[in-house]
Amino acid sequence: MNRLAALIDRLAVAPDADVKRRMLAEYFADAQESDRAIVATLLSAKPKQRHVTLALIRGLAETRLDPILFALSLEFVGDMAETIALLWPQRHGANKDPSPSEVYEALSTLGRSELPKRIEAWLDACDANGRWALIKLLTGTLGAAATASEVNGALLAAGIDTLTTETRETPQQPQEDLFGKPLQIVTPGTLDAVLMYVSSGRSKSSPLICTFGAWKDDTLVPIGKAEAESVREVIANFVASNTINRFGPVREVAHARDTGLVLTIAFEGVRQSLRQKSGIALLGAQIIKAHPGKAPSDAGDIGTLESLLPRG
Amino acid sequence: MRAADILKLTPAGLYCEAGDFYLDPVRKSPRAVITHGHSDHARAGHGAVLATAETLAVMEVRYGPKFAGARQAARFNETIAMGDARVTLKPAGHVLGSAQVLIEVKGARVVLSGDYKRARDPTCPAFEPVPCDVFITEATFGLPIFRHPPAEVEVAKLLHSLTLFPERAHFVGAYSLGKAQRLIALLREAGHHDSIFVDPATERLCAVYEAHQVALGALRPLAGQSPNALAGKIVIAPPSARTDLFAEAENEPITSFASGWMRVRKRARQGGGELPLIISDHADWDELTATAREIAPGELWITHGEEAALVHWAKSIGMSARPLALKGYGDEEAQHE
Repeated sequence: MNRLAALIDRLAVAPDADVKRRMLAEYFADAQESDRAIVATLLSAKPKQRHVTLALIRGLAETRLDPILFALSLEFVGDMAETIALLWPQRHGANKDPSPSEVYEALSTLGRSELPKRIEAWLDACDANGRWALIKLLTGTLGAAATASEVNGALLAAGIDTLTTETRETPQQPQEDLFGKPLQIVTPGTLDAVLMYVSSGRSKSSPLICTFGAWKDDTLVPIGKAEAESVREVIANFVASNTINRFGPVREVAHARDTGLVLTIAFEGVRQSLRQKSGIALLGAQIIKAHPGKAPSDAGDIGTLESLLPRG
Repeated sequence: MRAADILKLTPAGLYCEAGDFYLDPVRKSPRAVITHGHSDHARAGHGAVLATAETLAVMEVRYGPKFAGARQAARFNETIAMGDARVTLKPAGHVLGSAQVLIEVKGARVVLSGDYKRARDPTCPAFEPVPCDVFITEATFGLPIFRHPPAEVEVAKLLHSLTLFPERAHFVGAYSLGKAQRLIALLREAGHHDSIFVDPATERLCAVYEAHQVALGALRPLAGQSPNALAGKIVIAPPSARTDLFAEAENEPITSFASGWMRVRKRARQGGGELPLIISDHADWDELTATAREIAPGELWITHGEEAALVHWAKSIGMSARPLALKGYGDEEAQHE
């Protein structure tokens, strides 16, 4: 990923097509056979697949970083993916940085639960630029870096004739997601949910992870997790006087029709999930507001979310 | 005497009452101790100036022989009595002649780092940590996003580009004091012995380095060169020198900029040209925090830069810290660092 990142950065400021072709040819001449088609697609203007949310990667970063240093850095850089890439603590003695094809292979074979650990290991192994390119690849946000003719010209110049035109023109993005399901088109939205569990770290500054639920008939079923962030104080106060059970660091709080804390959740999309009891998982969930005066019975139900599930 | 009382904050900068002198004053002052020759620290028109011989030479090149009423050169580690204060200059590793200032009053010790770095620099002696009660640090790159790669790696990128684009001039924007000479010295170490073209201001400062036993190899003036004669050559000059020089060149030059700010993509895209190089003469986050830990002062004061993060970090490890929010420093470096 480090070499690819350096290429992308140089292409972004290259003055003309000839310079781009020379940079691309040099890259492809030294690239592994298995990387060439993948990189050709990554550099193109084709829409890219989102493999994980930026919120997931941010969550990984936040467990390793001081929240105030994180916030000050984000304010300076102005871009979340780049801030994480620059801040991620270098781990000396980590493995060699992964090649784009290694990343793709792992994305298509690893289960959802194995993925975060692998992403962490990749981030450990990359340099700051490589981490940036990796995050952009994983979140499907790499922009176009070269035209198809520049890439094709460079592939030819690098002496590669193993790629057929067809391969070059076919998007590498699988039409299925990581878990073999058809690629879903996501719909962002908001929903009022009810706080159910809160997990906290050892120190006062560790993030509060909140699990919240929506109504399914007469019971609340968990639909997702998010950090307390901006409503931390409200949630901490609620936990202090409404804990009904403790499981290690996790506290179960009151969540009945008449007592409980309603939270407005913003999400990037909804997908089916066999792991969740509700059968539904929210993608990129964030708590944007807490409503201490609101009755939990007024919170949303699973039906609302089901209607947002992609058809087919 | 408490160390914290040795220096007072005044509109002209930090003032030592016991020795009756100012440190890097931003206004004309009767007596000044100057850490290094960058123009935001070394200004013309003071009554008397104490600094290293190298810094005095830089000031003379920049401001002419009458830059101060009187001048006194101090060697590193030589202690000079000034009133009730004892002043010792220690290497800061920033640019040629750059010094930290150790001030001792009745056993209490304050060190002003000036601008400094811990990374290797073949053009000046390395920073020397000095035990003290109050350590006054800069924080130009005082955010954990700033981790400068080894300068040698960045120089290798420049040389690699020269082999990939041998028909194009490589125009590297670099601050004329310090950055330019370090870049030249690193290029020589990496085996690049071809002539390097420099603008007049950089050339004059290179001569000061040469006069102080820092060899920089073959340098040629940029002025009067035909653009095509610069094909495949490295040019080092402030970014402003590029204007029109290459208007008639057959091949566009590769433009580059060497600065710690190039670490941030947005800055690199705005001002880094085609080949941004992350090379800085300031301590990065790891150097700032490692230095504060190593010196372990009773108090850490922060002069200028991104101080909030460093203050937070110091407090998180139980070190007392406060920002001085000094005005007038870093302005030039914000562009030319």
